[in-house]
Amino acid sequence: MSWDWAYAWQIMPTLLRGVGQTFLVTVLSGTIALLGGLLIAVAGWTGPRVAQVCLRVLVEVTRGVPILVLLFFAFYGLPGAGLRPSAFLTGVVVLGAVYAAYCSEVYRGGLASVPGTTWDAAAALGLPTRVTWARVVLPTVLRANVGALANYIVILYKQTALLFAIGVPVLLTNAQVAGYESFRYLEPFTLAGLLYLLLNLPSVWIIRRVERRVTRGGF
Amino acid sequence: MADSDPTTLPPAAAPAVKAGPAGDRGEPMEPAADPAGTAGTATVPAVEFDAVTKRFGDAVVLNGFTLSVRPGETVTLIGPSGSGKTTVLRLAMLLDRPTGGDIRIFGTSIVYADPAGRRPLPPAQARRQARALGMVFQHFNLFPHMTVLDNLTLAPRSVLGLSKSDAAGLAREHLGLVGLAAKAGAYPGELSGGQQQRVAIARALTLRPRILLLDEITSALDPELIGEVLEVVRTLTTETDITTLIVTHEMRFAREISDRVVMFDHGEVVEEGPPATVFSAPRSPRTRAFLHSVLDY
Repeated sequence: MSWDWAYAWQIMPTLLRGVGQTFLVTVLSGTIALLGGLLIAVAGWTGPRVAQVCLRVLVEVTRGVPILVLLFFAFYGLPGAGLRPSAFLTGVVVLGAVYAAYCSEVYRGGLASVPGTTWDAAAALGLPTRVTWARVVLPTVLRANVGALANYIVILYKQTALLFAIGVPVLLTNAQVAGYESFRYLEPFTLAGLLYLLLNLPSVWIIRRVERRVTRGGF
Repeated sequence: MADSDPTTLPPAAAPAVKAGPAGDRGEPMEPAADPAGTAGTATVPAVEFDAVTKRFGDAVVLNGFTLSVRPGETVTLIGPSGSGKTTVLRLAMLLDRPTGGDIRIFGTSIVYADPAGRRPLPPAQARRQARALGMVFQHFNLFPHMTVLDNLTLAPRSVLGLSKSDAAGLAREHLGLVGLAAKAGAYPGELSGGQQQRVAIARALTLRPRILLLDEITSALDPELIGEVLEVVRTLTTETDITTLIVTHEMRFAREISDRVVMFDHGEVVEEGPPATVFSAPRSPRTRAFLHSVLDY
């Protein structure tokens, strides 16, 4: 079996549609991960003991169960309970939730490392709680952890391929479909791999730029 | 600092706190709450520690600490490390809560909502009371991710509700007072320790506190940077009527600027008096031993 350029060109539009879906899923579940993780961490930090325990359990379950199991549970299991979310919505929410759990651990560590002197200074200035969090604590946490968070988003981007299992038309799914229709798998999967790689390359550069920007002024 | 105009120092007398009665809604008057009978006039102490106790677990840090600071007075707490001096300042600033006793700022409790001392003051109300106080820390505690100017405008904007330009004006005015007007755009990490501490002093002053708490503000500084910070404090204490409560190991400085020195050991006041007396003719053997160890005679 040799490489067929004509066939490669022919399946390109299908693959690029998959690229679009992959990005869409990454952006949506990435947003859930970053904001949800923050919410979990702050709630766990400030909330009552009961809330902290509930969140702890949620985080451990989400982190401890394989993503595929969670995906199948949500996609095949939830309809049994009368819920029928689309495959796309299921995939976005499950991926977002799993990475929210990971991100919450990053935020939690970041919060724990905000020095007591910072809280003291904010309190001595009489800053309202909201201002202390928004202007002092969270910027400190984000500055120190932007790299770790970005890293999770990059992994999340690759893990979108898992949504193949429930038929969301991400890049891998479309490659599989193209191959299945013509019984030629070399070109679709090679191109899919190359596309995943190529599209991920700028992220390294972007992360470094963001990191440099937010850590301006030294520590 | 030398060329700043001392007459522009912040009017420390500007009332920062409404000294509203904390718990006299319809309750019978308790004249016993004011045993000396001095309340109501200018003699209300700026800060009053009334039999304050503080325990961390089993460790007793303060044991019935009582001290009254008059408005405009400069009082220095001296004593061995771990004797509870910093805790005194932290309690006044509401960074910690006393285990027992009461703390009053211009006659109003910052600990209790009722005179009997049973209901704790709600945090928001306590915060409002504490607006009369400003604090400067040993490690400066500037916000590292903000420029000097942002460090100074954050509280005026969010606490006093000033507009961006008003807050910036106020900030620049105070930066000028500590001789650092040129550093408004710098980040704390780009300044020397002495400069950072001067910024921290300016930041504490932007809210125009009537009482300033200085917690070992030169302890983290290289020896050659101590002078510039002390110079700022000297100007403040001599040329404004701000009340100052100082914890320091700079004995010469304490002697020079204090109206009163309080020697502290194991959570208790050992001795207090004018600096000349405490430093030159200490009555207590513990004071003598302490001064001997720090003054390196």
